[in-house]
Amino acid sequence: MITPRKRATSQWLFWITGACALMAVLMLAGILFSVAIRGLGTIDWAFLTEPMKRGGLEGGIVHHLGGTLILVTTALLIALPLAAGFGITQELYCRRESLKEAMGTAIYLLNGLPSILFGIVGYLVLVKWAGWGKSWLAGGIVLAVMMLPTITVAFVERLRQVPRAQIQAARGLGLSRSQLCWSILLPQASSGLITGSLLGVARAAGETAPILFTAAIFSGATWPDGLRESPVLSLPYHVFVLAQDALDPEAQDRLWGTAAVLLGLVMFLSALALPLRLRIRRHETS
Amino acid sequence: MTSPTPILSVEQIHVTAGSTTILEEASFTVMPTGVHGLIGPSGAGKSTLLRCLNRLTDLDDGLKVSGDVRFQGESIFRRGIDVDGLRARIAMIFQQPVVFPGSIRDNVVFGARRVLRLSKAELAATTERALRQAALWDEVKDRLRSSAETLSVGQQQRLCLARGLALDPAVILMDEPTSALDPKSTEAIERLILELKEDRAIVLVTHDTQQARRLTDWLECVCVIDGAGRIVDSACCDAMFDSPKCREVADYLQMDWQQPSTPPLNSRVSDPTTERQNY
Repeated sequence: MITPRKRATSQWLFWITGACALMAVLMLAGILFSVAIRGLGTIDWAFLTEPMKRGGLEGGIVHHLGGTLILVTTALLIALPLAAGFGITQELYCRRESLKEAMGTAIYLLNGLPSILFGIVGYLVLVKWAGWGKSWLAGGIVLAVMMLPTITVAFVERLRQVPRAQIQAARGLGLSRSQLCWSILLPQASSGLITGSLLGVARAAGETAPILFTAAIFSGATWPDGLRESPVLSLPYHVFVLAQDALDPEAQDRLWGTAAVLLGLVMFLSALALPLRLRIRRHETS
Repeated sequence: MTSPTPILSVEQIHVTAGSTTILEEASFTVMPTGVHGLIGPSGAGKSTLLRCLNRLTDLDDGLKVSGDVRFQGESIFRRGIDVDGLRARIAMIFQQPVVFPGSIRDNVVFGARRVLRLSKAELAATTERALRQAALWDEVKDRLRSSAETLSVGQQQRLCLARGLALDPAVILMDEPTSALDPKSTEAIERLILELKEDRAIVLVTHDTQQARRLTDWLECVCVIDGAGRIVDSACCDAMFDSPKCREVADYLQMDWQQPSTPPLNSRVSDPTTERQNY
């Protein structure tokens, strides 16, 4: 029987949880709104397609946009196979439960490391020790390591949802582990790779600390033409530097414009993959 | 039971999980044709015993199997054996039909395509042969490309059978293949089992004693004694039912007799073709 008191508690809970959800949505909306209202005015075709002039006070951000795309694409190309390999090793080939858990813990630890640490290690190992100098590849590799946990965790979660009955049936037909992997596991868990990649790319696109010492410079770079000593411009670093000139109203406009482009890029990536994810989910539920 | 050499001989299979013994020293032989039944109460280890026969137990963490199983004279536990090849020769049908995402055709050749590496033309021929053998061809020949999930559960189970048959196995292991099915689909599967047993061995786990009587030629009764599954009786089907050798078997069969839906044993006809009219 539902007593009035129980009903009141239930009502309260509804309002509290509802308020929490609303708060999260409002925060997102607030950020989107404040970036949009300040930044959208600056964005036009020239801003997106012209190179930077006068230290970012004039011209556009084509090289920043391109640089960020180069960095995240490189990172994704490196991280995706690594994450797939890691997940498959952990779930398919690793028979010892303790080792499986250790692998899971390692990936969570990697996820928890501060991003500046990645930047410094990347700087010491790639820029200095390997002698690459600041390079888009160094930045891509550092961002790849940062993305790795995000993609791996999403992939492993999905791998664990593959029905055990299907694995048994496939092995029962005489499929080897690698055949099982290609025919059942990868197709069914690919949505995890996609989701993870999106989250990873979205995060990597906005990271400043990892590329600070490894790949990004503020000005003087256009398109990379080699591996060594070929830094790139990037959106988050541009925002970072412009924010230090916050008193200059010209810089302010450019700052918010760049921020809006960065935000738009991340949202565009998510939107791009949304139909794909929905299609996969529909396929799974049908 | 025409050939004197068994296709499978199970020698003292002993299965433990940690400190628990699941199955104790099970031994029996399976002839190259006919239906070999494993009956007994739930939880007695029938399914585990069945899974030992093509080493599917390897996939279960923490299960230790000792003893030996000889398939066509050779140990399936010997060093260097191609376990995947073994499983293709000894197919397994599960209690619940397991269809893979994809079309009916994809499902039929799922194993054959990868394990036998057939050409396109061979695959088409294999699809038709396997579906005909599984008595599913007429129902699906016009929609081989539609999703296998659109089939009824009974059809899905026959699809799983077709998928195994596409590999032309010498032995088919069936783990209560009709327990998830309606009477009509059960009848279809039972008719298939009787056809298929003519040229291959079928090892059938069931806890439906009527089904065992209808289908099997030889029976092993697996019961729990002192906490572990054990083969308590091994006899040809009629002998097991008419004169059970030990109390466990009698008790087990007795329990089933007392179920109201079951007609008394002596009134039942042993010819399976007439028996099926009950459905």
